[in-house]
Amino acid sequence: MLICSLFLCISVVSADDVKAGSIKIPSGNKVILVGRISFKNPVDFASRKDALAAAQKGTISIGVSKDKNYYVIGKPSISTMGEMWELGETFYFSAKPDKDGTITLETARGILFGFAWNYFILPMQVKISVPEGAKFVYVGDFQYDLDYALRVTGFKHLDEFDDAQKLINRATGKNVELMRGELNFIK
Amino acid sequence: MKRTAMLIIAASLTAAVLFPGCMTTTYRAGDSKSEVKKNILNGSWEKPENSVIIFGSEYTSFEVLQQNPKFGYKLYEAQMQGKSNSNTIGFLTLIKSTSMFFVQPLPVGSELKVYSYTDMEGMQSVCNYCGIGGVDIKLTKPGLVYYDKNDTGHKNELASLKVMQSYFTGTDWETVIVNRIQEIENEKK
Repeated sequence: MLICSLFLCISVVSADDVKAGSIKIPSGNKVILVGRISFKNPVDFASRKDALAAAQKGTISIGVSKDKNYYVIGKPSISTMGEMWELGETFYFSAKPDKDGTITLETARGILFGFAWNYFILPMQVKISVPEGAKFVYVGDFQYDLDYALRVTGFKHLDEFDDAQKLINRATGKNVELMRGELNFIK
Repeated sequence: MKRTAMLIIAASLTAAVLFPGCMTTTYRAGDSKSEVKKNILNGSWEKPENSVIIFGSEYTSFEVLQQNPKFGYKLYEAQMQGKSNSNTIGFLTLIKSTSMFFVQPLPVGSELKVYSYTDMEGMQSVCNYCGIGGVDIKLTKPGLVYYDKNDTGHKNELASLKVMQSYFTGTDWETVIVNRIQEIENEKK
């Protein structure tokens, strides 16, 4: 059990806060999706800390803080290592469009106290059409309402394009073109 | 090819006759029987009138997260007792495991999310982490709740009750367990 926990913790090395100039222009046909996972009302994650700390005994987390709460798009894996953001902050998710020029985001995964097993699922269920020639694609703010058991009770998709443009310029250290993706929610 | 296969089968049968192997491993996790009784007698564990024991079979570890804020978020690790029999016949090893778990009595109204469990998959023990979002079991009335996920691989209620009884001898919970044992035995008649 201990060996298993060490592996999972190592696999979720975080990008932590995005530093100015840290995001590179993607190469090849890859793009960077820019968006956000946020909550309508503050969620009381702190009251779970003592309970979940019991599960973390004897484990080592590398590159993540046990005091912070993160999220990943999809499942954490070696291939997405470093693509992890604090809950409520902007994501910069690199992805390769399918042959039809779309990218599908099915779920995001909230991870509490830097520990991969303390996860809860946030459905995204969106197919994004990537504009021709785009390198940075805006996909909006996915805002959830959660109940006391971290179940989704409400969802809104918000457009905060102007703020996102400023953030991507800061993150890349350049004035880059952020283009709106066309979003089709699957469910 | 055929000749090699026949030689292997012949060697296996010879080994089975000459060197049959059988091994039993027992394991236990959580509080001992005396600690369980102490917890009940000193009142740190709840009484049957206002609480629930969730129990099950054939898991080798089990943890639940209590999600109802009224009682506070808390992770409970199950008490566990089991044994594993392995029989080696030639090159073939057959393993059969039986186990019982129970979680300490929790107040009626508790809402539980299964946080993790360990299962035998073939010859391997696999630990599954189920996340912390949602509620899998709501404890609505006092007594016992058998958790089997409607999975035949985890249905062995009577055997689990009999092992569990030995933890609660002489306590109020023993009567509840014995009553359930009798119910099941009557259903079988």
